[in-house]
Amino acid sequence: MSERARAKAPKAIRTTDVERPRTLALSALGAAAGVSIAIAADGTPLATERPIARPHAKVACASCHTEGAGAAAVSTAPALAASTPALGASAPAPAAHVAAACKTCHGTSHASTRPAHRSLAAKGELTCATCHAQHAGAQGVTFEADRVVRWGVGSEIALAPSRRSGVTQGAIASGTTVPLVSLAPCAKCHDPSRAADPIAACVPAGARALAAAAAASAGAGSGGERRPDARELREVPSQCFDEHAKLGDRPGASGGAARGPVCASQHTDARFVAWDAAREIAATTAWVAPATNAKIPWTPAAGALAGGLVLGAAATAVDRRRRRAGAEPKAKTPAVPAARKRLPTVDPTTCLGCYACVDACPFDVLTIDRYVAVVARPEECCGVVLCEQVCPNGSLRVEDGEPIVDRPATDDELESRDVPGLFLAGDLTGLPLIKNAINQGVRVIDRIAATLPRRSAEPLDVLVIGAGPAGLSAALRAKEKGLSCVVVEQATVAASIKSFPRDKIVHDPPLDLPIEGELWLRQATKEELLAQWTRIVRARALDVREGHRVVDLAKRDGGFVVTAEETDARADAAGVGSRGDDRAPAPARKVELRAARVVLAIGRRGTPRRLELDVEPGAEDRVLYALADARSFEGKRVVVVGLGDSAMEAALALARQPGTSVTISYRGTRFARGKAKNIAELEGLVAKRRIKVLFETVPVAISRTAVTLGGTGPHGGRRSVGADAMLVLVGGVPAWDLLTRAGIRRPQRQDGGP
Amino acid sequence: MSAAHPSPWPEVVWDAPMLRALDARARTEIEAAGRVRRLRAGEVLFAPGDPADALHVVASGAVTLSGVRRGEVEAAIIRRAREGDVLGEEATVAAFSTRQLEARCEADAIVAELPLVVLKRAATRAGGAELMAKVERALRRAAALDLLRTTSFTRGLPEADLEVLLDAARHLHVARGEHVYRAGDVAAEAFFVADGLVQAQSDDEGKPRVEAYLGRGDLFGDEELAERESRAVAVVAGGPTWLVAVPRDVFVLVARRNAGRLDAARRLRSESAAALERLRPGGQTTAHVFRDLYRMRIARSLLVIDQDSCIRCGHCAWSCADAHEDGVSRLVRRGDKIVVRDGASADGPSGGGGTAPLLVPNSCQHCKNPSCMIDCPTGAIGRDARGEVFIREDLCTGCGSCAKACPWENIQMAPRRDEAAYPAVAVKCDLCKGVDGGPACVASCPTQAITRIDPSAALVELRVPGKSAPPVLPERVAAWPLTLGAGLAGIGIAALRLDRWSSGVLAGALVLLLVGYALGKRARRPLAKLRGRAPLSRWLYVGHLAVGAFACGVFASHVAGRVPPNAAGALTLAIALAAITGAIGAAINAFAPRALSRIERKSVLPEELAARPKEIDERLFAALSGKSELVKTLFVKALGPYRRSALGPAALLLSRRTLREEERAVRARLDALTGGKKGDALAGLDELVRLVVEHRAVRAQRVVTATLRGWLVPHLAATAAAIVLTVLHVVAVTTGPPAIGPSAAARGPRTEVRP
Repeated sequence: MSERARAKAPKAIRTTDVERPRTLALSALGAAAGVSIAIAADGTPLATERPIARPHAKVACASCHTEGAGAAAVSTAPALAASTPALGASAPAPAAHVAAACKTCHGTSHASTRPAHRSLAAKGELTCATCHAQHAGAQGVTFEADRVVRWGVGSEIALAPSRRSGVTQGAIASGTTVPLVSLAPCAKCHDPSRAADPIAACVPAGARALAAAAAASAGAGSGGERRPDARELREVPSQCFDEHAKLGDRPGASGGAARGPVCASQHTDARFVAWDAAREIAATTAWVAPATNAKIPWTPAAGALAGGLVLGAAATAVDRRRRRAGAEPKAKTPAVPAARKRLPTVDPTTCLGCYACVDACPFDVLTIDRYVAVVARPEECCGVVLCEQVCPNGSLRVEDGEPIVDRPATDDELESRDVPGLFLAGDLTGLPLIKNAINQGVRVIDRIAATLPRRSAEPLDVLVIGAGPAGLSAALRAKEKGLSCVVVEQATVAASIKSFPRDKIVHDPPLDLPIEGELWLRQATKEELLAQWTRIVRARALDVREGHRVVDLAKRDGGFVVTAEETDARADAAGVGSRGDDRAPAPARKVELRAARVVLAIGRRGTPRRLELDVEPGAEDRVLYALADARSFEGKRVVVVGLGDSAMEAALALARQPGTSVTISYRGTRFARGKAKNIAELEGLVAKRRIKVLFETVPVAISRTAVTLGGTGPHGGRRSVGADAMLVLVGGVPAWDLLTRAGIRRPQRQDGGP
Repeated sequence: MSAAHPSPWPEVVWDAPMLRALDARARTEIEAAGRVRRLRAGEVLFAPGDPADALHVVASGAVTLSGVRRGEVEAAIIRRAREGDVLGEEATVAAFSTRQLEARCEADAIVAELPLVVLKRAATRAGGAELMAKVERALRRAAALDLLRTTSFTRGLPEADLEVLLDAARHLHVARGEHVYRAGDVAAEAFFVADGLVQAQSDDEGKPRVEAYLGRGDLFGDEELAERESRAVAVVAGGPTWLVAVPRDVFVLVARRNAGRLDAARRLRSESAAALERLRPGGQTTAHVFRDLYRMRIARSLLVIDQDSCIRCGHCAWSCADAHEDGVSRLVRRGDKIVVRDGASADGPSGGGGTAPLLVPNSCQHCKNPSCMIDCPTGAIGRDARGEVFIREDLCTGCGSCAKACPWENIQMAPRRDEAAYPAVAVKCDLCKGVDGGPACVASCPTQAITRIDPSAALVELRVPGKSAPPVLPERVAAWPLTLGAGLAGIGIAALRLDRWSSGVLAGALVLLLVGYALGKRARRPLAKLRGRAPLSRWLYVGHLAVGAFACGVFASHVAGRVPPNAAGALTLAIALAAITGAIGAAINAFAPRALSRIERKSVLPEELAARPKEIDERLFAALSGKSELVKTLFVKALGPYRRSALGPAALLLSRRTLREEERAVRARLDALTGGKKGDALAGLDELVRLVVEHRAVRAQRVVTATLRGWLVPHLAATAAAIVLTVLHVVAVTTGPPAIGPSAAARGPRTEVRP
């Protein structure tokens, strides 16, 4: 199990690959629903309702298209006709049964007066519908009492009754209908452009030229065949009306009554007058365009697409949400640290030794010893119950221990119990980790935004003290919430992060806490995180006043007055722990800021824990409490005091510099705390004699060239170690002086304090 | 094997030096568990690849041990085992090792087979740990001797020198990821790789860069010995590895005595390194076979997806979820992309100079040496006789040890269905055990892009030299001939002018057939039995295309160009839309995968693509910090606009460049800007170029992936509409032409009044 990588067991995920069939099925269902709705809403008919010429408007389809005449023909022939709104040469003749149906009403006497036509009809090549296509190309004139209607297929145009109209004069019976036939069917056999053709008399004067031109172009196109395209002529009415009756014959002679009511109403004495009137109307009015009714039914198609897309998108959105919910860690974000020290206890009789808890713990509190988990570094436990959550069989429970002290008392919303209106965030609250600090910053501002009185006399809504992770996060959130906010920082933005060793990777993969806000990078080195934060501060124009150290904080009239003095930010950035330092620069300009609420995010390491030392005069600057850049110690002798993570990381960084000799002084007897990786690396370097570790020692004095260490163990005694600098990294304490000045009561410590 | 033997084993077996100390009881135990094999001349005792779990002692006759020496192609005889000699000591090397050498009988032979486990137990019982240690030492030494004989360095070395080396040697077991030594360490030993794989790596800005892979029989760490230099590179075990370490003094002594051999060995090593280098296809992928050679070596059955033909439909993952009762897909279609030389496809349709980009998705590869099995605290993971690794769900506590142990995230933790037990259970590919037709993912792929391979047999890079192997991917059923033929037939049908009823009925039947495809490919049980025998899903897909092409002709014949304003017209539109989207989809499926695989570095899930640009941006800005002013200026001037360009993805796709080529092109543009300047000021520029190109590529991937998966939505919508409308149409035409209904009467003829 050497170098066991801290890993997280991947969870089974539902990918879109698996969800997709359901999404697609839903979208298909949506399309089906969409098309149904569209059809219902649009009133799209199921089957054809084709326009028909006016005289037949009230005739049922079945009257002509009889079932008995052959099912295929019934359905196909009308459909065909519908597709050719005007009778064209290419349109096949309607089936014979339709022509036969005409005779049931109109009788059998409508034989052509022309022998040639009669013989064609006998052969079945010329039917009623050839000239009178009722669904296409039929045209006619109906004389009514008060108007004349010129009609086409499915459409009609009402003309004002002309003065010569026979109806008004009584010459034509109201309702008399005269069908007009276009030259197109004639042109199948005849050539309307030739003066010698038998139909020359039927061709209107203007149409002959048209036909000739058409014939010429057709001839040029196809060579020998000189017949004009029938399409050119389909809107030219024939001027002959004597196809079925000779002009000389008197109507009614053959007995109109005997031929049924249709004939009787039409074949009156005034038939010729009607013909004349119709001929004139045909010549003077335009051909009535047939109602094509060929509107393409887009609505159902659009409905289908819309339904499919809408339901598909909805299903995708639901899937995505579910996936996100599944991916998000279930662990509740701790806002406030536990009130009592919490420690895991392991039941060795049921523990499997599966490493789940070991891998979950961010601080290497647990380890596996002889196949069961044991608590190896209880002092590192942060009380976050990740280990308990991952234990597969409940062998591990986190139980409450002694109460934690030396922490400002806050309520659940991180508001100080002693000073209402003063909020705490970040390390100061006792909850470690950058991520938690970021979350707390957000939480605090949310609370402030919810409770801040609408009308406030203070010029500022929120004053944030400290531009670390918590402070920046709070400032960002305040900007988002529209609160006026100023950040006061004694050094520079994220000075605490800056003091991390170079290239320290600040990420904690196993600590699966949800992160609010945008400050966090998934995996970043210290420099990357800093760059990101600086960028955000600049991009959001956060008002961060660097180099302002808060010296006083007082409550006044429901708001706060914060007094800050300007410092030299650069100097402080290097040695952060200079608050209260003897060599503090001369007091500079003081600034007073007033705000309704104050967020204290000053962290814990603002004041490093100090050592009581005999410092030789002139050696004061040899004691350091932070390592900014290990490179500046190249070739020097450094004593590092402490063996926590930061001390180990500093020692490792120093040992990597060429020529730097590193000695670690630690009061304990062994590597007891810190990340396993750091310990392993340090032990490697110790084995290679790059680093010397002196256990059970504490520094007692420092001169310009050496550090004197005192032994704490049974073999105590003093020894002197040559050193150019001493780096003291033994943790930090809250800045109690500022806190107490603000009115926060300090809890009683049991072990006496620093 | 425990059948009673008529007579005890020949005494000569027990005379072998390492077996002499066994007492009578131990002998009886071993005789009961082992067996005596009588082999004819020429018969094979064991062959490379056989499980190495027993020791063989020759009772009579002779057996030759032969193997391919390091750096050679032909097998050579390593040694001859005669009466009383022991064979197959390498069984002691590792728990799950396989034979590397071939043992063949020279003459008729009688060989006793001693199961190693029984031998170890019997020896421990008979003589305690002391005897066991002695036996083990002897076995190890013998195995190491065999090994040394196969190395290039020791070839022809006098036996006496071999003995010298061995006497001084130290045996070293190293776990995956552990360092044998680090750069800068003091060189004190030379190493032979006895079993496993190590990689020599240098530090490349915090990331390891593999300099060489060293396998069984390789010598390393010798160069620094003579001059007592410190180590130049680090050597890390790629997997569990057994090393033979020879102290410096002994090694130098032997090397001086045989100076020429050492040089020959070194030359050979550099040649093989150069040969490996040549195999890397221009580094156009970051995750090549060699990135994780260990994975390739250890995988017994590696699931790969040919990215040049994968249409990203996800049928594999879906069918996996469908085949398992808990509905959790063991296959997650993301992971490393490797480019392998596909011996068969050099002139085949997949082209590309005979390389195939393969995605190795997160799916159990049934390792020869499964670390999940070793790490399971409850013994829930086992391996069957055929080498398949399986999880016993009853024993699994859901602790996640196996999932963490798997170096390739091939095990996932899924919620358990019965709440009473532990909340989670580990799941992984079980090769669809108990499901008819074999692995569902392979059976369900419509493009035959997914397949299970044995990397050591299928990949040219890993193949034993001289051994011919099948192509990486199965031969694909071509779609276009059948589709084209069916399309032509459709045109013929259209020209034939069928009457309304026959064309209508035929069209309806074809619609049913086409819709049936979607149901048929998802239906598991009725078709599962067929799947093992033929690429059924591929046939279904090709059939769907062919039927679709043919149906287009029938539809055209039935419709005859009319779009009436009713359900029939809407049906015409829906069918047309379905046909058009289907045709577009078929074209996309045929061409888009290659465009996509060209610009993919690794494969991620489609849903993860959306977040990728932001991730890359984060990395980009991180990479930008601390760079020189010149680099920052170049970024602002050239790379920033390149990254932002809205048409960039389209340009990348149209240029048909690979990522590598695109990076080179961008770099050339930058060089033109700087006037070919070089030096420290440009440090880190390559990383930025890589990231902006990746940024553009990811956006292009998103577009292509969306196209690949998106066309199906309108196709399905149109199809669903067509089904509804077909029903209405059929109802309408079979109930006869309607009488003039109220709606028609109400509307009446269109009337307008003209003066």
